Amino acid sequence: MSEKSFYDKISSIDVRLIYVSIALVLSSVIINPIGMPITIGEHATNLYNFIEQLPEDSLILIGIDFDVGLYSEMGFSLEAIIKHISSRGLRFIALSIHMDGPVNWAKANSRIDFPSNYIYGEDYVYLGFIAGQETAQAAIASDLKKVVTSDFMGIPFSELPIMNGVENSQDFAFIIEVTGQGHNIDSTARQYGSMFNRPLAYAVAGAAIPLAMPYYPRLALAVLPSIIGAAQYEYLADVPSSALKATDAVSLAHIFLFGLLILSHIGFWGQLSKAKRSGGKIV
Amino acid sequence: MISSDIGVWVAGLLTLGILSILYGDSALSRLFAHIFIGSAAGYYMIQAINSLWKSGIIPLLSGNFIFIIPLVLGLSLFSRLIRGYAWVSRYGLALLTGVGTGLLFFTAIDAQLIQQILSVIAPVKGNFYDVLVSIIRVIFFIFPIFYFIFTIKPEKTMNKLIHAGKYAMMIGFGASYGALALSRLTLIINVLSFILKDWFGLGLATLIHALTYY
Repeated sequence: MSEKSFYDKISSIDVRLIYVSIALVLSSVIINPIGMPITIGEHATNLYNFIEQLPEDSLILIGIDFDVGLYSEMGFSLEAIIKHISSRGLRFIALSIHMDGPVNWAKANSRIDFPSNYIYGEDYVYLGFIAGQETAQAAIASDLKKVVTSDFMGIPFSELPIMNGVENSQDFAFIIEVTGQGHNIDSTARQYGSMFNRPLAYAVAGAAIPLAMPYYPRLALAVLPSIIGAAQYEYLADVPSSALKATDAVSLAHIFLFGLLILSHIGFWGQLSKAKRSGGKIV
Repeated sequence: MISSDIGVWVAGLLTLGILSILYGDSALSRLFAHIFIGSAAGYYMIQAINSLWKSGIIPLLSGNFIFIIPLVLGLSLFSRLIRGYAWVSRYGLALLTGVGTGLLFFTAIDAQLIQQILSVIAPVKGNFYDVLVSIIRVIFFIFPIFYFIFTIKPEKTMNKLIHAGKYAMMIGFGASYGALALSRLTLIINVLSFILKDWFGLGLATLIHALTYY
């Protein structure tokens, strides 16, 4: 049996070794942050500036529509946006057309320290999971109270002052959709953006960035990308939290990934040139 | 300081159990995968029943008998599981398809065609970088369209445009893959952060203390 060449060894590294290497690299920087610089993108800036210039009595609709397993990507964006909204005294109504929404809301709610004068039912409310996907969004956009009559705890709207006078999407100054799914991105753009011409913004998972970007800037004024967008927004809104803490790990992970990419290319092209020289094929 | 919260310990052990799948398939890793799938299925079932109860059964019991129609049509979808009666589900499916098509009819053309085209051909303004990005965006928008034109026989110039479109799409897919890599790396960072910080309480101060103390 012929001995493996250097290029063969590189191309056949045990994948478990790579997993362990990534874990060690990330663990080192999670325990001991380096403090790598981050740049603030235009999307985070656009969203921040837009919320900053909203009048004080503005009402914002937040859609919490992502898998609970993707909380690290979009949950931190959600927290940063809600912290900014609440610090400005703006009101918001949150709801979900995704079944994991209530779990994500519970987690975000437990991690956010609302100002003492920011009261549930008066300044913010969570309406829970509403089945129907785009049909539900269309119904909410045209007549909210026909779809939902109480919040997620069953408190009727008559006992929630924030719901007074809220009829349809025209009562919302702004709509933020926090989602990792392409069909939610599209349905929000269709039902709120196109149908009712409401200002929109998205906070999306990394995999959904290409699905949301086509709506920028005509329908969406910002698309916060994954944990990077969350970190940028935390920096702008001065609410440093988990996303900013993770930026070192994100940067180092990508540098490590880039190194693996170079290594794999060296292995591949080395095998290819060796095969061409010997007239054989890469096995 | 290592966590004394039982919930954190359970979550940590389950996390390590799921991650053991990376090492290799085993009865233990399959057990943890089944726990995960089972708990998710249980949660979704409760959510679905709760939603049906709130939006369908309660209005019906309150006297809105018109809710019988959507409830029956919804139940009809399950007739696909009964041999010989699958045709009953066509009524429910027809309603779903009709409503979906109706919702999309106007809004899809505007949101997913007109507005996106307008985004690409927006007036070019700003500094040199903005102008360059706008030009690249238009080029990457136009070239892939040539790849999908099958009604013209490709000759010399057309072949070059088709190849350019192919490479433009490959660059686009590469960028999408990069965004996906960000997504996956974020997940593992969060998992490691939970294990190291929330469970084992490992921060720099704790580590230095442990190293110097022992």
